[in-house]
Amino acid sequence: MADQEWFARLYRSYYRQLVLAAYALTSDLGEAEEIAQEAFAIAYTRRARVASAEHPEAWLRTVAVNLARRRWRRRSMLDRILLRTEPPPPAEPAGDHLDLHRAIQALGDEHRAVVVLHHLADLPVDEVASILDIPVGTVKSRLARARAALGAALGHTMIAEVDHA
Amino acid sequence: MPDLDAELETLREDLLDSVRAPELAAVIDRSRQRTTRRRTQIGAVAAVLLVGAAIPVLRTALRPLPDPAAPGTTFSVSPTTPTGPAWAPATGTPFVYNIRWYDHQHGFALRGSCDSGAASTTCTSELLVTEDGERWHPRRLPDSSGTTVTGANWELAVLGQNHLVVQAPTLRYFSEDAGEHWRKVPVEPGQTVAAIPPGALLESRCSVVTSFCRDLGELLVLLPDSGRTATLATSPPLTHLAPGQIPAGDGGWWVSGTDPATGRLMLAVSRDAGRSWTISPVPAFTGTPFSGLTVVGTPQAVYATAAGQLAGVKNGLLVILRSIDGGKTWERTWQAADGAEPRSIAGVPLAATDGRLLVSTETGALYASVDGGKTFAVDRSIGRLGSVEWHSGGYFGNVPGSSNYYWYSPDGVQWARFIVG
Repeated sequence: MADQEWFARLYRSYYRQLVLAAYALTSDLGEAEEIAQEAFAIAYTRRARVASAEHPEAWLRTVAVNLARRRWRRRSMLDRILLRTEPPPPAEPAGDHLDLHRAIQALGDEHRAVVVLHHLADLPVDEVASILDIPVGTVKSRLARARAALGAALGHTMIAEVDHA
Repeated sequence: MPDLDAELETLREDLLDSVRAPELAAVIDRSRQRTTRRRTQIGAVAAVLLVGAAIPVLRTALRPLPDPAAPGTTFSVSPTTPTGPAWAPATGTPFVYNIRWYDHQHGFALRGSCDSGAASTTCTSELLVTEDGERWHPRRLPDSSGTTVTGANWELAVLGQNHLVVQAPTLRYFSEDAGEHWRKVPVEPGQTVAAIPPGALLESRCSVVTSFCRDLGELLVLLPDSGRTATLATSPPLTHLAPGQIPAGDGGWWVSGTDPATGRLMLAVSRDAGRSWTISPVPAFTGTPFSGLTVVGTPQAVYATAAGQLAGVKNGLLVILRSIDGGKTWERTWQAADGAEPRSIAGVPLAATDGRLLVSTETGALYASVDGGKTFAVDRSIGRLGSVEWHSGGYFGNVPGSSNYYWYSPDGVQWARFIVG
């Protein structure tokens, strides 16, 4: 029962970050928000358990990732059934970094996911590996290639190393 | 030369600023509707199963509990006319969404019903009470209009044969006469107690200022005589406290937590109602538990299990630990390995008084061990248990595929089934 107050604090402080984590797998911010809300709704039904979890944020991310994957599988199936080949363009956020955002969107799924999780959702490399169920080394190599691609797309010279945290 | 990292950081800030969190009430409402959809689906499946072959399967799989009054009788239930002032019965397809037992004869349940209108879904809830394990009496929940504004989201806590608490997000009501009368009580702790009184429930609260459960936690006691919450004077000096709500089958109050100095997972037990705690380390194991360790047991052996993330399963079973010296030392008898069953755990393990350990899985299969959890074999003699719960009267669970069929076992040896609502 005390965990209900705790849940409210978790929601207020972590909702936006969870949206960004889901964004890594959806490429659509609106859909990422939908997934984040569903993940918190699921967490609310299990708040006593989540409250005593060592890493409630990780629990939420796992739920959000599973929801995103389920939606992707359904959409892929519908695409095949309906012979759809071009997905609708995702909505773009407001701000001055539209070129960078578009460059990220233009990356392949695998590279976009690691960039969004590491640089936008601010997750360390080992957590990105855990979420995507791939080795840490693979995360690092995909990040390096993605950064190179982003830099080339934006006309930058790469000066920063991948964060090894 | 522009810096990619700086641009990424700024884009991150832009994206965060563009996200607006809906009101928490909307998330709670979504959670409630999600629960309603699942209950309706389960009810629809149950309607098919009940007229199919499942009933004879259930009847042969579960053995009735011997009843001194009527040997061989299985419990069956039909709700009777509610007591109290004028009361509007629930409409829509009813579903039971909370059951708590004091013992196998005295129990309480919440039954909800939702009507989906054009604009929104309206839910009402009522309390069901049994004093003999057979007849269930509907009673009104405390609300001036006879319905609940929070819909099917009340929580139930049983504090005695006739003492219970129901709580919605910010409201709590206490009854000491099995729901005939209620009084509103505060949710926040108002006092400190040196010991956990009989019938009380134990919970944790993190002493949080800026983060979640990263400081030493507090143990809270839900008091049986008032329904109020008190802080337990002495908590184990661990973080991430995850207590058992009631004593385990060996009589101990068990709490898992993390040693703040070493980060190591520990188990604490109190055998003097929370006045003092004995803390023991547990063997290391692979994986991160969702919420600490769950402890069940008999006077002969105590078992601790952890559920966590495993590829391809829900509620992966990470480890089984056993102690035969009251928790002083622990042996890791089982650890998750590729493909080895049981790979998941639904609820808590069941420590039978005949020495077996039962694990009900998320796939529906039931596994039994006769060697303290070292090896398991499929058990088909009992039937499917679904998610196993430990209440003060024993082990309980909802028969999978049914919204209203439940089972009960005081000891993992005797079994009975019954219908609620």
